Amino acid sequence: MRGLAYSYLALSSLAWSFTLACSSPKPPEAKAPTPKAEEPAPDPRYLALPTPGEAPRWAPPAANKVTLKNGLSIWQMNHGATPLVSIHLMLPGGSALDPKNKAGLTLLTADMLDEGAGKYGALELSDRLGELATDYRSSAGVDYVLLSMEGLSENLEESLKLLADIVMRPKLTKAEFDRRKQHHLAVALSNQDDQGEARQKALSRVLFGENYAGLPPSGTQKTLEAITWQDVKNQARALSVPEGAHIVIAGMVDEATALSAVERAFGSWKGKRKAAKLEVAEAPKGRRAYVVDFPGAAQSSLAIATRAGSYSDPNQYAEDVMSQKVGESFTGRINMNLREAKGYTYGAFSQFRRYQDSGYFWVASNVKSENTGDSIKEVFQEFADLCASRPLTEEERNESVDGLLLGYPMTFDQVSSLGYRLVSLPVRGRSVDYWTTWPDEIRKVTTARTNEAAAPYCDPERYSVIVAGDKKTVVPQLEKLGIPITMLDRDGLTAPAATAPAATAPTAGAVVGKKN
Amino acid sequence: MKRRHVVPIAALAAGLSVAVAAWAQKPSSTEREAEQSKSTVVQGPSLPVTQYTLSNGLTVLLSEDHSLPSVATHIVYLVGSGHEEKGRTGFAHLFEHLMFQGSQHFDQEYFAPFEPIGARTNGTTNSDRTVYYEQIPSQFAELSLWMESDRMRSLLPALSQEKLDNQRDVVKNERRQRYEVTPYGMAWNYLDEALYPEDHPYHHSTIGSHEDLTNATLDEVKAFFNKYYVPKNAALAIVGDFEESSMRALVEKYFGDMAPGERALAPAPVTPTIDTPKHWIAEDDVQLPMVYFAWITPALFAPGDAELDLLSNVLSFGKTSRLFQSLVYEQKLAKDVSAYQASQKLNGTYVIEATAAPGTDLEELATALQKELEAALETPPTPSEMTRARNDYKKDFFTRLESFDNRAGLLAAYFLHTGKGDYVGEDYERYILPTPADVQKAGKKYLDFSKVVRLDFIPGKKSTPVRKSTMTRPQAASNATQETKK
Repeated sequence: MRGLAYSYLALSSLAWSFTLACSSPKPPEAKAPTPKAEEPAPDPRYLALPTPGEAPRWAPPAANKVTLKNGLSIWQMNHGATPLVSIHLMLPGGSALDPKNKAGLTLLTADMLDEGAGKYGALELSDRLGELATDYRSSAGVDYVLLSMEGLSENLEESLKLLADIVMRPKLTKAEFDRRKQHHLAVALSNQDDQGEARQKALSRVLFGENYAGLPPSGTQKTLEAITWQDVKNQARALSVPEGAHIVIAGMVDEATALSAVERAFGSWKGKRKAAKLEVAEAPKGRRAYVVDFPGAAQSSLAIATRAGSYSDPNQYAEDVMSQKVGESFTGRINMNLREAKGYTYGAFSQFRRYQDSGYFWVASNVKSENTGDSIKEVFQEFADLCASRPLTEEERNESVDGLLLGYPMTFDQVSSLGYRLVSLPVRGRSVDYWTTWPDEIRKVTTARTNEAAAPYCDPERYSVIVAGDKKTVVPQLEKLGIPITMLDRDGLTAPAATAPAATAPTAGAVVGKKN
Repeated sequence: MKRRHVVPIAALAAGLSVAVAAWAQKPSSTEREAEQSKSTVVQGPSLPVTQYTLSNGLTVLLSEDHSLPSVATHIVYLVGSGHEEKGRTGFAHLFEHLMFQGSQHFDQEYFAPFEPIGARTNGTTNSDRTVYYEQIPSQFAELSLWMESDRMRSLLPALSQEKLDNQRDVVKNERRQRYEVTPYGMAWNYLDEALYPEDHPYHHSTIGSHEDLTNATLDEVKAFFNKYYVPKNAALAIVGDFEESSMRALVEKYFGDMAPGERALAPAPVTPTIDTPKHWIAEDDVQLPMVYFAWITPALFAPGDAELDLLSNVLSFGKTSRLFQSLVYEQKLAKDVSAYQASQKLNGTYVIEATAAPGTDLEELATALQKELEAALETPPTPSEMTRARNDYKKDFFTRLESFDNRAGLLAAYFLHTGKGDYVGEDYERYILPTPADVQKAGKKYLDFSKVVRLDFIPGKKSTPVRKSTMTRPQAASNATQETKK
């Protein structure tokens, strides 16, 4: 398989592209071959790329939202010709609520909810879901917990009854707690083998310290060990509150059916949510590299990252347009350089990742170990050029905007992606008509705005460089670049001094300060 | 991940990301009644298709649907890593990369005209075939044909040593990323090597070896193109928002005048058998050991293939699935267990893989797994197990036919394996008609421990050579358990 090296998960992977009425996109000119005397005349079919037909009329399907008396909001979208439905119950408060010494508590709690609920034991509940052909899973982000179902439209009512059992009447028995805790410990242990996992843990820790968004949602061996049965029961009680929760139903289900089924299943749910105050650490200062040792690794799992704005940042539209051409698309500058010109990697990409209270911008790539230093150098050169010799051109801005807008209808072709699209609205604090306003926001981004958005990201001093790779190969390359180095362990914590290279002083942990 | 469907994983492992069908348009009530009257399959999926052949032998599969303003194109070439010459493993896939490096009339990145219009394009290679695909806003649909036909007819004038060298480096990095640095990432390379004799098309991995990739030459690339990238050796599937008559004219315009070439001979090896069970042990930079049991099984769409898929649900999908409940839920010997049939054109591979729970000895897990599988195969699936397995596939067929892109891939896959695109009904029935006894019978027939390949991953150094040995028929598992305590 060729191509995109990263598949970003769930919410962050949604490309926020939109409608059809674009500026007129011009594909690159086809290169007319130079005819030689003895060759036949050029093939007229291939003198230019084909002219597009008339743009079809298309608008995104409408979404509706109502809020029940108990504070549960219902988001609904009836779309598609396949008898499938996607359901998400979003509970505010994600892994950011984990106590510092108990990272992983929220995810473990979310995972425990279906281990027996209502009248069903864990095994019976699993069988009941199987009979309905309803896939169920739980997940936790920084700001929310999602309880998700994919199933047949005809089984909506029965699926929702089970979901209500899961969130309102979980059994949370000691035996199931012990079992799932052991499983999470095993996963945490296994994750230590994975360079990508280690890079992500280090990145969060370096950018956010031990505060908001800094701790790994799945926890570590140490933090999981500290979690008790009582902790999980308390966390479940705090999470399982209708006020401020959102349920999303997308697919082939009409509005009346969806609303009445939700009311029957969740109308009796009661409770008030306690607001939690979360602190965001100050961004790290000064460029520094953080190395997690994977002895003998053939590649380095590389991230070059800096703090960015939250979901509500007004710069996000211009930043997203900018990121497309810097590195979010295959033909973005960074991939064209590191992969297609240098052959250092299978793929290199940039992206903004946002949360409710903060976010970050990063370039990520798996590069051959011997090319780690050169890859870092090239990325910083791309940043420097962006603000000096090669600002984004009008053509690049147009390609970026048109790509976002023209690709939009195709993202409505599967019920599962509709469900994630719809639940991203409450997750990001958007209104129900967001999809009709978004294209205008993208269209408004001028070339000048794109370059203004890029300006803060050209400064190399604001970046942290994270390398999960072979220390022996990588550290000399980083030293040659003159970037100070801190060694981290596979949980993203400062490694014991003995393993840190001499000349550098660790200053990893960020301190608490104002929100970004 | 817990409780995720195992079928897509199996399909991916074999590179058959589109091998399971789904649903196209909601039939009218009359159509539905008619369908019900002739079959026990209620609300079966349908995927209308027009199939024809150009005068030069290119097969065309068209399926019109105006529900979204987009068009999906899949072009499948009947050449995969199974066709590679000795000493040239990885060549078909390396070649696929070169198809994105420009052709005579568009000598730039293949992605360049697609990304600015929001289109998606990519390619994928497995042992049996190579596929290239685009999903594009419908007003630009002609662009896909322009670009695909130009590289099909005139890749070579734009090819250069520099491009080959660059993509060779990229592919080597793909190998490192997807196989070498990924924990347990070399498993399929080892399994295929152990399951198939050296001259079998499936013996080597699609990604190939570093050495063979290094040795690939520009002349070989040219010869490969001339031999395999011809109309007779390809099929073009197009699904979505177009008028069939206009699309036929466009296909003729861009592809109709190409020289036909020859259909490549499909490899036809004797289906191998494992006469003596094999036991290979690999080291990896991992904390938890893993064990794989693998068997050679029927090909995609052959009798037994769907029965083994249904069996996979019974064995490892859901908490009461037979292997999960016994090994993970109750005995707590395994962190996870997964059973799946990876179906391919020449034959399938059935795999059961399990990761040891921390502190569990791998031998103890392997012995218990064998014992539990043998016990599981002693009784046919219960009515409840059959209902769950069938319903899961019923939903799965709908899911797989949702997007135009999946449908185009499905048509191309049906053509590759059966010679016709109109196959979804038959495919669906394979999952509805088997009885519990059929499912049990397939399991007992194919999952035989006297014909198994066992692969262990144990914590150690990645670079350590794999230890290869044969094993005598393992003792009855219940006895062996006592000998393999930690």
